[in-house]
Amino acid sequence: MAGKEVPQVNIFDDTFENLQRAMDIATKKQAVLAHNIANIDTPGFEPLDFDEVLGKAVKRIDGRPLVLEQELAALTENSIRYSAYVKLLSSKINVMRAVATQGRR
Amino acid sequence: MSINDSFDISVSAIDANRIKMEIIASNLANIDSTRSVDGGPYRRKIPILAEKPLSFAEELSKAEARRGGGVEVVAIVEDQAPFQKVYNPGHPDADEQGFVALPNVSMSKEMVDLVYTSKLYEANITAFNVTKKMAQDTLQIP
Repeated sequence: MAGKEVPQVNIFDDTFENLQRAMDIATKKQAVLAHNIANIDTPGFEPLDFDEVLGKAVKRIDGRPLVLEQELAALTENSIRYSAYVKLLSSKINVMRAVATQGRR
Repeated sequence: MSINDSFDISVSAIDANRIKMEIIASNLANIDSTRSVDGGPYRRKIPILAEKPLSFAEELSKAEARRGGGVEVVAIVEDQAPFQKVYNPGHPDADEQGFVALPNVSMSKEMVDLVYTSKLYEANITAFNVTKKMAQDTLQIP
């Protein structure tokens, strides 16, 4: 009876891990943007950018000035992005719940 | 670095801007004070802001992780600009030539600073609320 393999269905794919990492990065980016907004009036402050590959704050290299409106827009965009990750994670959990509970029907 | 750090950063800026507004209120209240605690007319007060370093090194140590970023008022110094001299010989604080030294506070400048500071205060509350939305979203995960 050897030879016939049982197909492996991997419902625990990388989606969870990737979404968690994306949410973690969005959380860190939020802190960097909040930091820039907090220091909008601090003399000599060099604005920070968030490097999403390194996962940490870096000094801006383009010498772009710190503009309050731009920082607030980036902050809102980051928050919407985060909401999207939450929605994706939720629907993934719902799919898994359906798989786990509807299977006996 | 958790979402609480974003809250702390925004709160530090709200706090700093509140202190700035208190200083402006003090400057405006004393715009005509010819006698201060240190003697002489009131000198305009200036807040000095400094960046609190942003650290992502939460793995290193708890003490290191507490350098959460944001801003703080590190000092309140006196404006060294000269006093305004107004000719008023009947005033008890007038000098021999009849001039009274009035505080180096300009009402228009203080009012502009006040509007600007209150806008910055609002901007940081907005940032706080955006972060709050993120924290609430997290709780929506089933």
